[in-house]
This record gives sequence, structure tokens and C-alpha cells, in this order.
Amino acid sequence: MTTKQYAVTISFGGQLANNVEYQPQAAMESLLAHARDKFGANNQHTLGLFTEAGVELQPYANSIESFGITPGEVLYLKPSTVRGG
Amino acid sequence: MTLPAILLSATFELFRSCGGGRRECVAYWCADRREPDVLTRVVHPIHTAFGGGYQVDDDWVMQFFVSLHQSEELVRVQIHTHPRAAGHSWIDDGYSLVPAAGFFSLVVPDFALGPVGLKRTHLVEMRTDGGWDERRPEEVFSDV
Repeated sequence: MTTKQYAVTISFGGQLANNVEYQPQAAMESLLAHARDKFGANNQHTLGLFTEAGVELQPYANSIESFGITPGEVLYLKPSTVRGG
Repeated sequence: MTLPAILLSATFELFRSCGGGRRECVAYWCADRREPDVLTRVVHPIHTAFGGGYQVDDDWVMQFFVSLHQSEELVRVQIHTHPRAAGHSWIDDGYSLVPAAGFFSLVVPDFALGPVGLKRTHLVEMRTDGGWDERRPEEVFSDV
């Protein structure tokens, strides 16, 4: 018997985190926290996870599988606001 | 990090053309993912700006991130202008393009109307705790 692997790639400004494993029933928040940790962005609460089409994967309390995420998919970490002054 | 002189001069030209000596402007330096320490091109985002700040279009950011992924590039440095002396404001600290450890932010004084170069610029690098460390531009960038 084989166990199905659930993993996605997360891209952040072109940097990659490959094979980020997840549990389909886990909250999307867990994948977001994992992504922030992978990129050394733990304190960055303006970051969200998006599909390639630019759809944010929220509410983050919902399960990962509820968004229709499939293993091998590329997700994007992106700040909600980019500005300076 | 290798910063070709032509890339720096192109960035100054961009800032002068877009900002007109009256508004801030912002750009990004990218590298190939296989050679992340060799900067290869400057990218000018869709943005709004005024004398003391700028904001990048959110849809543009999304498309830029997707294009970087597809072209196997990454963005290493954010560069923007200030009206007078260069420094990193609390807004610059909190709202950068890639708020992650190792990302650089360079601020150019006087709306980039001064001589092309790194003199009087202000460079910072993000730490793992989200804070920024000041770095000496001439020690970080070579081949300028």
C-alpha cells in the first residue's frame, strides 16, 4: 500500500520552496505559516498565499483541500501592499 | 553581488524620467535563479507616486511574481528615490516587495538627480526577524 504525498511549490519573488508538504484537511493558515518560515519571513503578516490567477487563498481557517489545491501546484506568496515613502 | 554599471545608469535614467525631480520612483533589480549574485536587469513597476512616497499596483506585483517564476529569475534588490537625503523610513521598512531575510533595499537621494553612483545612497538588508541591517553599498555591490 502506498501513501499519497501532498506537496506544492511556493514561489516568492522568484525564490522557490519546493516540495512543501501539507495535509489536505489542515487549515490554509498552516501552509501560509510554513511558507513564511521557509523564506525567513515569520514576522511578515502582510503576506498571503495566491494562485497563479491572483486569487488569494482565504479565509485561511478553511481547509487546504477546500480550495481545490492539487499536489504539485505552484502557489505564490505575496504582500498585500507594496509602498514606500 | 555584481551590479553592472550600465544597470545602475539605466536605473538613474528611469528615476529621472519617471519622477521628473518631483516624485519618488521605484524599481527592482533581478537576477537569474542559477546566478543569484549577478544582477541582470532593472524592472520598473506600475506605480503611483508623489513627492514623499509611492505605491506599487497590486495586480502588477502578482503578474511580476508569476513572470519571475516562469523565467526562473528572482528579485534581489528594491531601489527607490527620496526627495532629499536617503534613508529607510518606517513605511519602507514595513511594505517592501519581498519582506524576507536577505532582501536588499537601496534608497537613492535627491530624486536621483545627482551623479550616477552609490555615493550618498542608503542600503539595508532584511534580517530573519524582519528588521533591517544597514549595509555599505560599496561592500555589497561590485563591478559598478
